Amino acid sequence: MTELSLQKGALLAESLAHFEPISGPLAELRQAGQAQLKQHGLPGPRDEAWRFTQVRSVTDVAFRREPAGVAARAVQLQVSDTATLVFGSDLASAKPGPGIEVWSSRTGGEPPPWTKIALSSQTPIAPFAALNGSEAEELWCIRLSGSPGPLQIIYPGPTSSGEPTMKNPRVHVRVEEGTRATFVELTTASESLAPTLTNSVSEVFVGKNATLEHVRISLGNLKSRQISTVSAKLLRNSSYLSRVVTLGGALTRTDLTISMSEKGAQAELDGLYFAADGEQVDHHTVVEHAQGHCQSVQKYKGFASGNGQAIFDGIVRVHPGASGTVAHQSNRNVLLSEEAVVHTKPHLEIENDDVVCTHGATVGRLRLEEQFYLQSRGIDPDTARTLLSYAFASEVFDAIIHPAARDFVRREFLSKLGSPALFAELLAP
Amino acid sequence: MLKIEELSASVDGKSILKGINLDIKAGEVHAVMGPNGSGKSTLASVLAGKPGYKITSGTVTYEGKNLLEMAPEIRAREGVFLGFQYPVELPGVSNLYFLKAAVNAIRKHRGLSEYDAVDFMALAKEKAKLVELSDALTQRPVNVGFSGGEKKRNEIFQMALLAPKLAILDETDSGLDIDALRIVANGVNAQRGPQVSMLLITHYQRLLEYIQPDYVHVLVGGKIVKSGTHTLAQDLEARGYAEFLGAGALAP
Repeated sequence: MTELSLQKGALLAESLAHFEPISGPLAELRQAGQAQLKQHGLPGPRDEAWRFTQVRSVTDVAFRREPAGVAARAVQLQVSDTATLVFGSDLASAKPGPGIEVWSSRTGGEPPPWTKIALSSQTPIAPFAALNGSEAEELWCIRLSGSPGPLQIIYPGPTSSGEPTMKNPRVHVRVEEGTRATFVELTTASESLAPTLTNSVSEVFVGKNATLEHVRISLGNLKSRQISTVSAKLLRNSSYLSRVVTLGGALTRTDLTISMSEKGAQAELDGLYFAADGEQVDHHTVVEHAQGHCQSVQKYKGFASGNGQAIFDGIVRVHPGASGTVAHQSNRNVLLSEEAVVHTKPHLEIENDDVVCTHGATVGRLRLEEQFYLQSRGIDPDTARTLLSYAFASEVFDAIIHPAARDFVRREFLSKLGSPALFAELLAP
Repeated sequence: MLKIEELSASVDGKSILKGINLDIKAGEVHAVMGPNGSGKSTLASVLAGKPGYKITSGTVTYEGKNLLEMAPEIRAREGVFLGFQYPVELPGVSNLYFLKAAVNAIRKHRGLSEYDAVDFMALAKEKAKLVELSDALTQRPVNVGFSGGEKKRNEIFQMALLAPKLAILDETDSGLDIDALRIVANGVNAQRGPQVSMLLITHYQRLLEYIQPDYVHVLVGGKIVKSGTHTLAQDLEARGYAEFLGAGALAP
C-alpha cells in the first residue's frame, strides 16, 4: 500500500493502550494490527484515498473502547425473517438455525478447524482495518453450509457515557462450496452527545459454486462515524451479490474490495447512499479481476441534500492473465440542493486486451420536466420529488433478492427522505 | 370555461406564442392543428403550467379565475388535465398508487372524502376497461416497460380517473398504430359530456376522424391563422399547411 503520512492524532495515541494479555487468534489479530498501525499510522487528508474524506473527524478524537460487558441493547431496527445476532451478545443462547455455525473468540473456546482459513486474514492492509485488528474486542467466525436460512448481524452503535466511544467488530463469513446464502449486516448509531465510532471489518469467503447475497446497511446520525472495511474472496464459479446501503452519518465510509481469484466468478456491486445536511458518505470499491472469465457489474446510486457530501471512488483492475473479463461500473448521483457536493471517480486499470469494460459517472438534479408530470396530476412538489427520488433508487431496491431486507431498505430510505408513511402506501397492492 | 386572450409566450428569450385567442365553452371539443414548430405543444404546456416558459403578454381565464397564477398541481386539482406526448416513467412506483395519490389530492382540494384502497381499486378497474388496460398494466410501475401505445392508453386511463373539466391532449395520436388509436379515441369519446371541455393538439387529421371536434384551429408561427368546423381538418389533410406557410407566418 502507499505509505500514509503518520498521523499522531488523539485516536492513535489512545488506541495503542493495551488489552489484558490473551492468547489465541484474537491475540494474533491484535499483534498484527498493532504492528501495522505502528508502521503505517492512520491516514490524513494528504493521503490520496482519503483526500475528500473528513478523516480528522475520526483521527483527532480520543475514542475509547466501549467498556467490556456493556449489554448489547435490543435493537428495534431489524430485518425480519432472519436469524438475528447482535454482535457482542452472548452466543450461548443464540440459535441461528441449521447450516449456520458461529464461533466467538470470547466464548467459543478452541477455534474449530473450519476457522483456519478465516484466520489467515484476507483483508488488504488498510489503516482502519489495522486499527480494528489492534482494538478488536471480539472476533466472530461464521460458517454457512448446506441450506442455511438468512442470517443477520446487528452492530448497535457504541453506548457512550459522555465520552467519545468506539467499537471494533470483526466478522469472518465462510460460505461453503455450493451453498446459497443471505447475509445481512446492519450498523446502527446510538443517540449520543459525544462522537461514536464503529470501525468494523467484515471478511467474506465465497466457496466454489456458492452464491452469497450480502446486504450491508449503515444507518448513521450526526454524531456517528462508521468505517467499514469489507473484503470478499470469490472462488471458481461463485456469485457474490453485494448491496451496500448507506443512509447518513457524520462520516460513513465503506471500503469494499472484491477479489475474483478463480475463473467464472461473478459479482454484483450495488450501492445506494444518502448524505443529508451535515453528513458525509464515502464509498471506495476495488474489484480485482485476477483470473479470466469473471464478470463484475457495479451500480452505485446516491443522493446528497443540504450541505451533505457524497464520495464515490471505484476501481476495476483487470490483471494481465484475466482474459474474457466483463466489467461494468457506473455511479449516478442526484443533488437535491445547491450546497450538496458529490466527488465521483470511477476508473479502470486494464492489462489485458480481451475484455469488455465500461465505466461512467453522472451528477445531476431531479428533472423539472419529470416533476411537472407528477404535479400535473395534482401531486404537490415535495411528494413529487420524493417519488422521483424513490424511482431513481428503485433499481437498487429491486435488485435485493431477500424480501425482508428489500423492504427494510425501502422503508429506511423513505424515512431518510422524510416520508416514512409513504412506505405502506407505495407497497399497497 | 377557458378564455385565452392575446397570449404570448417565449422560451429562452425566443418568442413562440404570438397573441393566441381562443374561447372554449363547457362541453366543447376544440382541435389545434399546425405544422411542426408552430407552437402547438407550447400552448398545451403553458396552459398546464410547465416550467421554463415565460408569459410575455395576455391572459388565460379558467372558470373565471386567472389560470396562469396557479401552480401546476393547483391547475390539476381545479380540473385541468394534460395528456403528455412523452409520459414520464416512474420505476418502483405502481400506477395504482400514483393514481390514488393523484385522485385523492384532487378530491381533497374539492372537499370530497379520500378514497380508500378498496374503493379506489373498484374505480380503477372500471376505468381501465375504457382503454382496455389489463390489470397487469395498472399494477406495474408507472409507464415502465409500456409500449408507446400503452403509455398513451395509460394517459387516457389517468384522465378517466382524474375526471377533468378541461382535458388538453398533446399529440396523443403520435406513435400510435391504428388499433391503439381507435382504443385511445374510444376512451376519450367515452369521457365527452356537457361539463367536459377538450383541447386536442395534433399534427394530423387522423385523430379527428375518431374524435370529431366542434371547432378546428390552425396554428402557424405562434398565431391562430384560421378557425372553422371539423371540415377544416379535412381540407388541411388534403392541401397541407402550405397556404399558411406561404403567408410568411412560419415560426422562427
